[in-house]
Amino acid sequence: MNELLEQLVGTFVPSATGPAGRSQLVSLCHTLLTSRLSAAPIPDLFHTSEAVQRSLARAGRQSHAVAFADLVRRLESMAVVTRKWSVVHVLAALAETGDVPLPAKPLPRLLMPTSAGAASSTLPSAAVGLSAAAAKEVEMVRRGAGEGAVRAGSGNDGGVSENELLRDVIYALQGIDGRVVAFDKRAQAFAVDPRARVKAGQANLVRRVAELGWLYMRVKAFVVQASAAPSLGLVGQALVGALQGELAEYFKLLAVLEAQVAAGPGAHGQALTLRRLVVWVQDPLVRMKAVAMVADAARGLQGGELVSTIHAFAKHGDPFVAAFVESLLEQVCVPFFAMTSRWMFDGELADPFGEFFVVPNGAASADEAWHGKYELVDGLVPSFVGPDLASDILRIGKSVAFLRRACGVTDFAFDGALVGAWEAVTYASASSQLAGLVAAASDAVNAAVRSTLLGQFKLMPVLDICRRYLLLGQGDFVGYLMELLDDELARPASQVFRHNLLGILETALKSTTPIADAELADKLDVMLLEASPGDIGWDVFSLDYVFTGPLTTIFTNDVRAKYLQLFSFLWRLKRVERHLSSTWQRHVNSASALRQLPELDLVVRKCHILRNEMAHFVFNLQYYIMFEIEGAWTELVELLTSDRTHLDLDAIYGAHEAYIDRILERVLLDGSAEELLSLITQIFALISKFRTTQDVFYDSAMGEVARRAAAEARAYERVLAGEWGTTDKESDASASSYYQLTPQARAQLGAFNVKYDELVTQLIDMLNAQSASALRNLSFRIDFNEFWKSKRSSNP
Amino acid sequence: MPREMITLQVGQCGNQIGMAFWERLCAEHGISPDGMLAPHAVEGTDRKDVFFYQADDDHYIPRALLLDLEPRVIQPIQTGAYGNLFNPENIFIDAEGGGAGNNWGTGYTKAEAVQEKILDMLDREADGSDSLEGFLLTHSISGGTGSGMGSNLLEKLNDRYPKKLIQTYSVFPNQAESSDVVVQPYNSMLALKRLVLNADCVVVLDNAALDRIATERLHIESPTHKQINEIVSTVMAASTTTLRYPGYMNNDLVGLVSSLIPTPRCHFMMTGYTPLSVSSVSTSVRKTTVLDVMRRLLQTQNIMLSADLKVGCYLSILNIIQGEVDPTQVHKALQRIRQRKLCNFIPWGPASIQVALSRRSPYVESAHRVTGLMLANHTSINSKFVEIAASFDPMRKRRMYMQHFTKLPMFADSLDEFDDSREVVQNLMDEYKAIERPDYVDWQGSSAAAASSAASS
Repeated sequence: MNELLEQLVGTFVPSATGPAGRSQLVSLCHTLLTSRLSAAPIPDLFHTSEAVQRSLARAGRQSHAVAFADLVRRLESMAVVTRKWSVVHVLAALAETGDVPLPAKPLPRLLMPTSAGAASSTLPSAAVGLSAAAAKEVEMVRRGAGEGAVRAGSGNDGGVSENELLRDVIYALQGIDGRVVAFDKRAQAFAVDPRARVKAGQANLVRRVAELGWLYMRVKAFVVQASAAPSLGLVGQALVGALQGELAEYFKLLAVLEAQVAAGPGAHGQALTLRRLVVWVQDPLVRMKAVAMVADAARGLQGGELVSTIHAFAKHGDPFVAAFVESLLEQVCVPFFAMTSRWMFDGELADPFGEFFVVPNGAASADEAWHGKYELVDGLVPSFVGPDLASDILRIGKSVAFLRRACGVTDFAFDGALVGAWEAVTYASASSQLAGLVAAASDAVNAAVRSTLLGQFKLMPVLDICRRYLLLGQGDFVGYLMELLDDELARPASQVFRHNLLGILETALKSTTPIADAELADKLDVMLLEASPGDIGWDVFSLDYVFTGPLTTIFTNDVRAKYLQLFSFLWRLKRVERHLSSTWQRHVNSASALRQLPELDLVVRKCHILRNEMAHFVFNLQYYIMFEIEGAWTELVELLTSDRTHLDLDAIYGAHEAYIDRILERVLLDGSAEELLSLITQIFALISKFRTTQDVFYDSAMGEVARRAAAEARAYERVLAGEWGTTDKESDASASSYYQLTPQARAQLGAFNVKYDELVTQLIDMLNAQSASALRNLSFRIDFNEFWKSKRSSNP
Repeated sequence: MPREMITLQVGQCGNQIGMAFWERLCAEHGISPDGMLAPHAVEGTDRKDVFFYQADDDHYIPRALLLDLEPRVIQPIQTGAYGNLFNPENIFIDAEGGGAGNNWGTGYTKAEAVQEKILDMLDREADGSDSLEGFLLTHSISGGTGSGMGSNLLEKLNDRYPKKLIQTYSVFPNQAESSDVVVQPYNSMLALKRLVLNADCVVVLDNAALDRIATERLHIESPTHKQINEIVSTVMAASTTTLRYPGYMNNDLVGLVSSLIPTPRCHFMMTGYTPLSVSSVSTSVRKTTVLDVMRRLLQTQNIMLSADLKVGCYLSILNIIQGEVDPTQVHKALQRIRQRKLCNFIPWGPASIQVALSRRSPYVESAHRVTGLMLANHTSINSKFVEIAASFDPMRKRRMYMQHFTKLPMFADSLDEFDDSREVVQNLMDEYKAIERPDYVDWQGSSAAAASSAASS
């Protein structure tokens, strides 16, 4: 085919100089043959050649376009070729269809003698399909054709010749001041020296062409400035590279133009005129405008922000500009996609210039590896990515980093096909593929994180231990631990030592329901809270769990603090329950003995009834809490163990946090119910006081029982000894203290009763006023038989 | 292992229901009749150690004493499938072997004679536990051994372990049935005194109600002892389930019973269970929900006490619900029960239906998704004491059959014990009556109550 073309060129353009020029022509023809043109052919040489020129220009081959125009010009001037349009059209069509086999029929003889006039008469009268601006230019060119020729002839009338102007314009296009055309800094434009005698029309044409020069200067300035900036970044470098490519194309155009100007008028028929130049630079001008626009907007920007800014132009209404911007984005996005892929698939930030929208937070501590270490910078998220995808991408990278570094999972890798598909993503395919690929990567890494946490790091058993031990769900253990700790924790806080408590903890664990996984059981720990003056062991004791490795991501210090808070409340509640149980046991154990003091019947019954009221409250509070914990737990287990791949680490953390927060809220510890909590604390305190008071009373009563029994025994001895059995003064003192105590105890118990009623009634009122239904459930439980309600209505 | 319970099964009835209880516990914990853990139960996280301990060869031994004054019931146990389960040192059969002749006095006297031996056994068991919670006694109050020997044991336990809890599962006689034991009212009254004074919590197993439930609910025409005992063992196992499968609450007996017993003297519990089934009889399976179960537990036909529950009031209710339960349903069920006013509580203090959720043994199949046990303290339990008193009083007045007792040294001089027992029971009855009054808090006690009721009538 090349041979054929060479022959053709040889035949048609005998004037082509040297083998270089010829081969250039051949390759041009080849290009034309392989280019694609559509639309119904319009049998007009100008139109067709314009179309070819434009398509070349669109493809960024400005210089080719110019060369082609030159060739066409020469073809036009060739008298031997009569069907010039057909020739160009065939060549263009050939260029478009690529290697379509040539028809077997030999080409018709082209060499038909025609006159130049006939050739020019074939010029079409209308240029269909050109852009309005270009059409106008064409019109002008056509109208000025004769005029130009006249003027060219009369160029030496003392003014500046067209050729000189052209040279100056070419200079201007390179941003260089010429003899008459110079850059006016004030007007920020090239202008013809007003002293030079240039016709207004020409000066106008010069200005129009020279705008390109001005644009070039702007772009050039940007490129120079940006390349020198130390913080340019990879995306910036890609942009500068792309712009430099644009400038190179531009220079090629200039070279051709310059060559034409240097060749002078008449070298090949029609000379280059200012008007022709105006037409020629139309497309480069549009393109350079776009380039300058981008360059202006990109000034000082970096990375994702830069991509976003350029992306904004992709929506440009002019398809030409839009296409240009898109081609630019293709290049600019390459480093961005590379960074994203490194982050998503390796969990590593390869971002020396801080261009990526994920940034590490240096201030984050070790146990914030997941939550605080990486952040999203909204401004750096490219607009075609959007905030949702960006946060997904952030999480994917974090998850990979979490798996590799925190979990030590070395064999995690994404599916090869997914990585391959990602590597092939370009700006053009991003809009259709990005979301799908991110979702696929997200699912893959989430599944891996979840199975690692649930499998290797035993999240569910650990959560269960937290519920059973830190939230006191394992009742037998809690009871026994309290029993064992009784002596130790009764001491002042300063005399309580962790190592002693650890030993007790171990004993309690050994003797109660075993934890299936001994390794996990070993991590249960004792923590002593900071003591305030006057605190005893009970006030500072807390169970804790040593979370290690990736589990610290779920059990952050924040979450642990919540567990401690819950433990301390539930522990206190349990202790109050124990106090009431031991009080009950005391009632039961001394019941028979106290039958000997019938005068105490009423006081004793008051004790029983008050204890019952208190126990009722404590038990129902516990039932309420138990159901709340169980309910929250059931939900958590269901959420974490159901087979849902979208459950990422944030969601797992969030689910657990929501679980613990819900319990905190229901147990009134979330800070929103201070008054309620304070009432409950007051009730606890009252129960303790009641216990000590009634203990004193019971001690004294039992002492009296013993005293009477002893007195009776002595009386019996005396009777046996023949004395009066009733005279016994020895224990009068203790007897009188007993007789004083009864009314005192009665008064105290009465006061307790009044206070207790008051507190509980107040609590129920406040609970009923709460909007949260769970709290109303609590009041429903406390006053199930509406005892308090009727009591209040009877004494308002 | 803390919070151990030592079981004492006394007399014919006590040993029969005790044996049924152990069979049930073994099944629930996956322990085979020889005490070895079945292979499927090795991984269990239940607490077997409350009721069992392990021998050196790891086989499980019940913390149980099997006591009787005759070999009739214990011997078949020793030669039966479970013969090797128990520690042979813990089995006591009186050397004379003559039994108690359905006489409380004989049982009591014989027990007194062998007390050292029995206390030795008790001490050995108690020393074998880390933190003994208490004792569980199974017996009947109407015969001789369970009633008399049981009474003696209660007093001894109280003396020796004053701080330990004593819970009994006491079978009360069916008064409507004519009994061949003519002195049954005496036996019952004398035993009742010990249940009032020396036990901390008495679970009343009302024979009349058990028979009724077997015929009416399970459609067994003439229920056998074995079938009745199976019902009893179901109830006993369920009421200990929170001890054996610990959760948030009710993991020790004190916690469990203290919430049921507001005032120490009124410690007689009735039970309810639904849906009931015995292995030998096929019953229809019904749909069970928490509300359904909790509602049924309040219905007379499911409660193992033949008394009119419409009169009187509940002091407390504990429902132990086992099975697949959604915790949120419980609250709804409670609301429904209160709306419908399905139960009547004491007027002088707060009270509620406590609901404990407990795990169910994975080794025992249950046809029903949810089962429920109710332990409740209700004043109508009084009707049992009234019945016993009603048959006791005329006999005592006419000194009927008193020769059975006066021949014994302990009654040779005086029959004060009878009147003392009657008085203790009377005080209990008065208190249960007073509990129904809004002014119970200021109630002046039995004598004053009698005076005021006399004044008002």
